Amino acid sequence: MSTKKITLLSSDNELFTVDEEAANQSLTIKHLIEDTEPENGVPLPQVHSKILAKVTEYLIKHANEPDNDAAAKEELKNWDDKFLEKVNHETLFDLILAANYLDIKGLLDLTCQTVADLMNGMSVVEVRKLFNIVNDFTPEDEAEVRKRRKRGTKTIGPSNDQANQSNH
Amino acid sequence: MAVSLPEELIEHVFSFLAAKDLIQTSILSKRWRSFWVSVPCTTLSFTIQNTHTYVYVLGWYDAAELAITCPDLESLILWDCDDLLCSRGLVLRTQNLKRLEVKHIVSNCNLELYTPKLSYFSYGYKNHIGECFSFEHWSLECWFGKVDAWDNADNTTDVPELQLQCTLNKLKYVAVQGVEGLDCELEFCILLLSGAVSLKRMVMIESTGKYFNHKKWVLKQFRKKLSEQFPCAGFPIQLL
Repeated sequence: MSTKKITLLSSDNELFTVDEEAANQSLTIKHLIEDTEPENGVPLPQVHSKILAKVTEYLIKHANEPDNDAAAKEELKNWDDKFLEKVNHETLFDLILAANYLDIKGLLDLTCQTVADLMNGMSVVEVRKLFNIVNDFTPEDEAEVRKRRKRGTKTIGPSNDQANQSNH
Repeated sequence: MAVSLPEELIEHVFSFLAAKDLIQTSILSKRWRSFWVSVPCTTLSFTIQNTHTYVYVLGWYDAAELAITCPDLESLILWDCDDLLCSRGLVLRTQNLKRLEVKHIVSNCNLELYTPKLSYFSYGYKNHIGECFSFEHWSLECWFGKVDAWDNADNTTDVPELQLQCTLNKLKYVAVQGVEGLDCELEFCILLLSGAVSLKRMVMIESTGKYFNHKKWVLKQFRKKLSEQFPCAGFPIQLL
């Protein structure tokens, strides 16, 4: 059985060949093939070969997703976990951008979930740095919060300790 | 970091965060201040107890903004939220909220519920609930700010004024835990029952603390007073 091969062309002119079925997981590639019928590979000027290598690895692995086979699903999940295990932040972000551009939902969700997991345990400052978010809260905002917090700690009922003691 | 994500992709990343981390995103910057409320999630549970961060987070909100408006939220558990609830109050506008638990509340607080589907409500301290629509199950603990009154009989603790600005006409089941036979508890029960026209069953569970023997007679009085108020009520009140 022969399957049609698709050639993908990265931004630095490297060629990647995958089965059509694997390539079609990317809706962007699928539409490009349908619309333009490119002869010398599908040009993907936004994706560098370093990233496209990872993307094609994912596409090939996920080409025939198991529907009901629990063991195969488990195996695929383990593969997904390993797939992004040693990837640094920068590559991970590049993969998110590529998955978004190529419209591969599975890869986009996987990479975003991985970043979300990374954020677990990060400080606010670290998260801001990670996403290049500028803290634009004014000192007045902060002063307001402090004031509110002070007011908030004034409790009318008994303290927690007393309540717990008497409850036993 | 050389690579930076556009905001819509950061939103997508944040949508995978656990609820407690998601709420934290509101202190990143003004852009992200209210983002977390728009993320659909079905369960949200967070603790506010001497954790500067969370109070800090929620402290940014004005009363209206503090309102949790997650349309898909079905279950909400608030732990140790005294700081938040007594200083700001909490407004819940959650169309699909079915279960609400407010735990370990020991202070006077203000809770406004606009939750038409709420069917289970459990509350650690009762003082004021405004504008509830309807719920059928209610389980609450009686603190009433008088837990240590038995140590000092002369000690007059302030009893918060009871208010109940809500419609309890669909309330069917009530369980009151930690009943100590106090006047304020009686007052509360009367207040509660006077509006609960479809009440079917009420269970009162006596406090079994270390002062149990001292107040047996008080509880006896309490039962008596309660049956005086509702002599032929059409619902069974069980005092366990």
